[in-house]
Amino acid sequence: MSPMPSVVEAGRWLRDGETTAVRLLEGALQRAANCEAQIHAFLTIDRERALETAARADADLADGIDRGPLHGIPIALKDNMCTRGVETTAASQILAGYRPPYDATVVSRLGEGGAVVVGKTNLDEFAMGSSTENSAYGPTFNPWDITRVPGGSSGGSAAAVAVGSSVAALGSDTGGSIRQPAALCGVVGMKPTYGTVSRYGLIAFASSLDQIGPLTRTVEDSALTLEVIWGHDPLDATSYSGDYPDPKAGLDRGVAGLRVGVVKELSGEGYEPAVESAMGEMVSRLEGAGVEVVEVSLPSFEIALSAYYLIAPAECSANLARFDGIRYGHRGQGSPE
Amino acid sequence: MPVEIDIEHVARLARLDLSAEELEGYKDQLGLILEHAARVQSLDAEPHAENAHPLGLFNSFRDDVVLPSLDRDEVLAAAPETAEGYFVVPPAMEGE
Repeated sequence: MSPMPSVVEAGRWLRDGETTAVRLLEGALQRAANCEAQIHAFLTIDRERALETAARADADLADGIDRGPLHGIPIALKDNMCTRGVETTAASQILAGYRPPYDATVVSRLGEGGAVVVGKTNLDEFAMGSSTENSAYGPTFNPWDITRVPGGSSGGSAAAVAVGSSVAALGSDTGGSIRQPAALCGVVGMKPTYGTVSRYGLIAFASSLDQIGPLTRTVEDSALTLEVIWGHDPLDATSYSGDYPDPKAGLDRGVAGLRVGVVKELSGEGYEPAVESAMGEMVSRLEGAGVEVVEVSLPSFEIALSAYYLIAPAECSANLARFDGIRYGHRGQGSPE
Repeated sequence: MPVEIDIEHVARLARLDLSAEELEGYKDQLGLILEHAARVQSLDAEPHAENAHPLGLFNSFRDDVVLPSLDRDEVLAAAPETAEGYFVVPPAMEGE
């Protein structure tokens, strides 16, 4: 569906002189102009700022300055990541008009890596939801079938990549908010290991679970994006300070010889027959490709949802207490005397 | 395992003025949440303590030195009301 190239293809075209960062961005903006009325993936598109960044990326490349795999690549950001001077709402009316005085660490890293931010994408308010229907600014629709939801809460990022209004995107995942919309929109979504991507400047939902990660068209793009955004950050006390592996290692190896576990507790009662049969089909395909598929049991699995729904609301009630209208954003009228 | 809740007390703490019907509804819903909590509490997590964090992180502190912080005017620009370099907040105490 997407007329957009992958990060890898776009990077090759840029360096071969077949396209420019400005042309790539214009393609993304044109696609957004054609699709946004049906899809509503974005909350904010700052055209001027994006064009400036793209022009700078082109000038740098012409001067022989290559900032890496995302240099000149259009990328969309979920609107719960702070962007200095650019409205950041987390899809809530509470933060309407909020222009952060600083960039999230992932935004700084994208900037240092020469990426071009296309815009800020829609989400369930404060990233709480699984369908992107619960945005204060209206829902996002699934590009493959606009009568269906794109998943959530990073539904805007998933839809933007699927429809080709961006080459890649960042989302955030607390209890599935990258992986599930990626699955529903047919793109690659990854929740990196907790602590590997800085949460500084991510509007917090549940701090012990939140993690920023990439939504891309290919697995290789996911690795390239991760390589730019991850790494130790002194501004996040839970940031991992040890060695980081090369996320691209093993990309060419294929899946043959891998051992894949299928969780026993993830079938049977409560699961859609269509999901189960798709799962069975995937197991056969993996086995056909030389993967050893083994059944594993996670006996405490049935308690996982209960644990999540204690941890996540407890942490979010502490985190969201700051939205009391004192330091920024909306202050409600008629509060009790 | 039903859990006893003094829902009127909880509503008072949250400063919510609820009707009898709402009190009943919230009591049922809160009861379900507390049943979830009781289920989780019934697990013996001790043998799995090493799995509590994938990377075994501990608190990390930076050096105790003064660094530049965000610009005051830029930070205050986001506030609904400010005066003389401060946030202006609604009164929180009773009386004059």
